[in-house]
Amino acid sequence: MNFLGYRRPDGSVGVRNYVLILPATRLCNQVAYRIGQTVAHTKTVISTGEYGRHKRDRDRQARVLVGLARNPNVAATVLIGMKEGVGYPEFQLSRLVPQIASCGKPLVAVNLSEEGGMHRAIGKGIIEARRLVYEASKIRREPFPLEKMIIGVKCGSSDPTSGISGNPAFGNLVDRVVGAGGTALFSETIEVVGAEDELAKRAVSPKVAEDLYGAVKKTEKAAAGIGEDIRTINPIPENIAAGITTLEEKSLGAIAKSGTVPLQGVLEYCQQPPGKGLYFMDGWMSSFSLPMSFAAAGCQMVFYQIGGQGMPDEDPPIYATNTGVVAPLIYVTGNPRTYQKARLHIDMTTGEVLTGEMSVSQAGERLLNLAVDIASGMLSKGETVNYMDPLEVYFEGPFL
Amino acid sequence: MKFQAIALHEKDNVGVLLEDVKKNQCVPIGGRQKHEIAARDDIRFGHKIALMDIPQGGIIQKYGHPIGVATQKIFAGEHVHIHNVGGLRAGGKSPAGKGERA
Repeated sequence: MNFLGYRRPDGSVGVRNYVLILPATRLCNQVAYRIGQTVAHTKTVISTGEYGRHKRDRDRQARVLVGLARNPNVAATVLIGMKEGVGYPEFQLSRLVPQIASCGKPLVAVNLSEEGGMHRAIGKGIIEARRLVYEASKIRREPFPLEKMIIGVKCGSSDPTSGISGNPAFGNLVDRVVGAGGTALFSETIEVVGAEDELAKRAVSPKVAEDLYGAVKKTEKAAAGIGEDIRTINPIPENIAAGITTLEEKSLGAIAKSGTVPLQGVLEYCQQPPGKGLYFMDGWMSSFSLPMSFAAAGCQMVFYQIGGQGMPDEDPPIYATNTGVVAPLIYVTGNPRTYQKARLHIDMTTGEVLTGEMSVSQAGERLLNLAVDIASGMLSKGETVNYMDPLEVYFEGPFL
Repeated sequence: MKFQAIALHEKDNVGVLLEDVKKNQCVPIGGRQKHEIAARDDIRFGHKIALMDIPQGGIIQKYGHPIGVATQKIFAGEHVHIHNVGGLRAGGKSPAGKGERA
């Protein structure tokens, strides 16, 4: 089975062909926004602030910026920064340019100070972005095998169908992608609490199991340290309304999305996987954050399993719209009622698994077909909307 | 026969409802267990029903794994949720719970 993608100089394959407008620092957000408003076929990052954050968190922020630019769906990048010496060292053009340029894709750095200020930098950025978009449009899609596919899987608005008909179907998709030589990432460390023994059994080495236990322990300790009942935070109120009672119950349903294949490694937040296969990324469960984290780690697409029973209304607002910036977000539900309520947002339902009318394997096969279609250019429903939620980076804190 | 609740493991003491059920309704269980239980409460789709009596302090088992602890005696057929179950992990506070795992 092949998908049609865009060949990149570093050997990766894009499923979209965007020019990314990237501010190095929050000070450059407005410049990036103006360029993105003017130039078609671009995606714009509106950066979250780096001020008052310690070095590890600034490194995270920089890893997000670099990772989004290196994502295979990006054909070229316009990076906007300030003159050398302004701001923290992690966000200097001299620091960011080599990290992005090493993947071989076109990169234009616009130095706001050298251009003569903000408005001239906007003009320069528009000229460069238009040129890059035009050049990028010459790249043709070509067929590639599934070993070039890299997806992220997330679950959210979890309800009791998530662990029965939703996440197991995602697990089957992961098994199929990884079985064909591809790569899959999953995350949400707090939602491994209570299910870590099951996952650790699948680790390829004792070191990987140890890394997994380490990540979970750190997060559980932080949760216990705040002195509030975890159940007032996670499961979230919608989960509880839908019938999920404890964090452990949510976790056991959540890890089903990782399938049954061996766990190759534990990644730091937004770290690109060093090889193929299934990886766990230490990350935050937020729907407004995690799809972006997967995109920054190099995922071409993010599959979002939505339970949705706790969503109160017909035609509900969806949890997140394209927070991945460069990687399409694809919604799938295992809850037939949710699909009825939110058909405008949800790309596919695997709800028939609930009643046994469809097997988990059949659901996985249909998901893989959807993945290949969307990878080859079909839009996800979320991509039909001109709205993007703001970036939320998973910081360690404290903020000073 | 069509089942109205699913047991996800042979050893589970709770099942998940696939339909809304009313008090005193007889609920056929499917999945990894095959039996029937009379509902003791009105219970909504997706929520849990006790498949057997569970003593106070007893472990609630779903997916074949512990998901919490009974904070009071739970009778077969009762709605199982936050009013009678506490979490055991990540600082879960419940009268019978241990809180964070050592």
